[in-house]
Amino acid sequence: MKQESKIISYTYIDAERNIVVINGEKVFETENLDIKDFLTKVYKTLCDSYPKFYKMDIHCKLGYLLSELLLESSGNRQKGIEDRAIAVVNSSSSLCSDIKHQASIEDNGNYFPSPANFVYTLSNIVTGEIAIRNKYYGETISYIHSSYDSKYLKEIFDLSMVDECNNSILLSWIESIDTTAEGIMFLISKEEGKEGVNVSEKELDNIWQKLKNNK
Amino acid sequence: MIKIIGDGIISSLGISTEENFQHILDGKSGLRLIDDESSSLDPYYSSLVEKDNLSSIVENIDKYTKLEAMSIASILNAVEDKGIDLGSKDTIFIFSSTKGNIDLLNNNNSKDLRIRLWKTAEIISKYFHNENEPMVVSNACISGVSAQILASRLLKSRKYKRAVVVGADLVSKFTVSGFQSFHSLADKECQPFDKNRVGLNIGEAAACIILQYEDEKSLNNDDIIFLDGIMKNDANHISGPSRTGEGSYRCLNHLLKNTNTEKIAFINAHGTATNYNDEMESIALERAGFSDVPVNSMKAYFGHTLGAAGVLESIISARALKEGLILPTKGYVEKGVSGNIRISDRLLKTNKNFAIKLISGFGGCNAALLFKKI
Repeated sequence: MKQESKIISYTYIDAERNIVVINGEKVFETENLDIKDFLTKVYKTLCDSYPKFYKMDIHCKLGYLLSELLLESSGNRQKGIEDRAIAVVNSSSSLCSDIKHQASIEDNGNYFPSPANFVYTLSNIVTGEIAIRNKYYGETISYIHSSYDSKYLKEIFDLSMVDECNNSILLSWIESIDTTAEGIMFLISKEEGKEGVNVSEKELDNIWQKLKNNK
Repeated sequence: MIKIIGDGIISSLGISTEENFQHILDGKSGLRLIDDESSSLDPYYSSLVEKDNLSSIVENIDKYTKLEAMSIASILNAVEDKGIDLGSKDTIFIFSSTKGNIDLLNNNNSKDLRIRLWKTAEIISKYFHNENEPMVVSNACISGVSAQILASRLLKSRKYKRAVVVGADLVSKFTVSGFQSFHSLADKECQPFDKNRVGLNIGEAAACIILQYEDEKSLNNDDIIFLDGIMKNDANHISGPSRTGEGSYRCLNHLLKNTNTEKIAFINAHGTATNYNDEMESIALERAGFSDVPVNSMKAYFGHTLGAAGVLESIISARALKEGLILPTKGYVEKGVSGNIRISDRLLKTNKNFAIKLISGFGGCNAALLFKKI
């Protein structure tokens, strides 16, 4: 019998609330840091050195940290593989970087568009950052949806697995705008012999509700 | 099998697939010099759509933004006279764009829902009274190809019977200034794969392709089938292509599971006419064994239409395959890439039945589609 796909592990960061959660357990917490400082603090405290981190915009920093903590804590990095998809979903695309770029071009008398910022005005760059870090050659894709929606996430997972090239996926909801930067990332696998919870719409919803209610 | 049952294109070259295709056969380009301070401090070459040209096509056009009107018009062109019910429950809309209604963004309106792509998609699918929640993909310049791949998966898993895939993007100060900051815009009409190429032109367009699941028995001669699609990442750099063409090479290699290079009429490459992109593609194509297969690029007809490119160029390629034609690469004169590839420089006839659309984008993403003529 075909084994059900499993949620092997998940990470959650709410930069506004200054918390990091891995598999339901709060592993890091500070107080009163703004979102940018908090993300830098998480990087310095919990992650290996990766200087490219400092170049990233907020959106990518958040996605990068979620992936680093997820892959490292679960021991599933498997550098160089081609059968792991990366899919991110969010509502506002790259609006933080869009606003920054817009500010740099709005006034013809004060015109200073920067390529280093412009590249981050695409919502899929975060998938590229994670692929580069881990040398994942599989598919990378960015979806836009109005809110965290477990039914939608399950559908995205199912769609990825229609393609036999994909055996596991980093599936993520990452939303950053103004003073908010919140995201969750799941590692889900259909490989045999993996331990975890069967993936379902209900499970994806339960996990999210618990994180939201756990003040 | 997944069949193309309709397609439509709104671009500077015309407001139907037919018009666009005819103009390409006539060797016309939609590119011209734009001197307009509202989109750029310096003049630039681009291909633009006039919203006014769509007012006789789109009902209550004043209710819609330019991007929405273009998208709706491309769908109307795709269903024209075909009696396809787009409001039915077994039809899903998939919208793909890099920046959507980005022309609405200014420094005070970041809360405006209409700059959210999911809202734009909702407005478009509501026009056709479709109640299903549309799916939205924003995957840099491969968006339009990613959307077709997702459509094919939805149809294969029988969740829907047909998928309306739309790709659309605008030329605005936002994108023009960004590409200018990268120094990637050419100061003339672009010249894909040419020795004297100096960069790309951006263009705007909306294109729609309607895919439907069909039994093999119900297919007719000359039907065009979406046979396979694949996405791979370079895992190399967020804004520069891999020197070895890694992602594109892996995509091309994958497609050879369903065909072989001798059966392929042509490859429609991304061919943006930037130094790096065209060089990368030539290497990927040679590595994957495609040195003898004609390669073309459509960027000198339309410019680089960003999220629309994957749909627009698939439609033109499918049409060429149907007619048994290999289109020339406008702007190309002399080979200027190191990979051993054969660039199509004139209109040729073919009796081969397969064609490939190849594409890549920022974030290291690459994708390829395989179309087959029955």
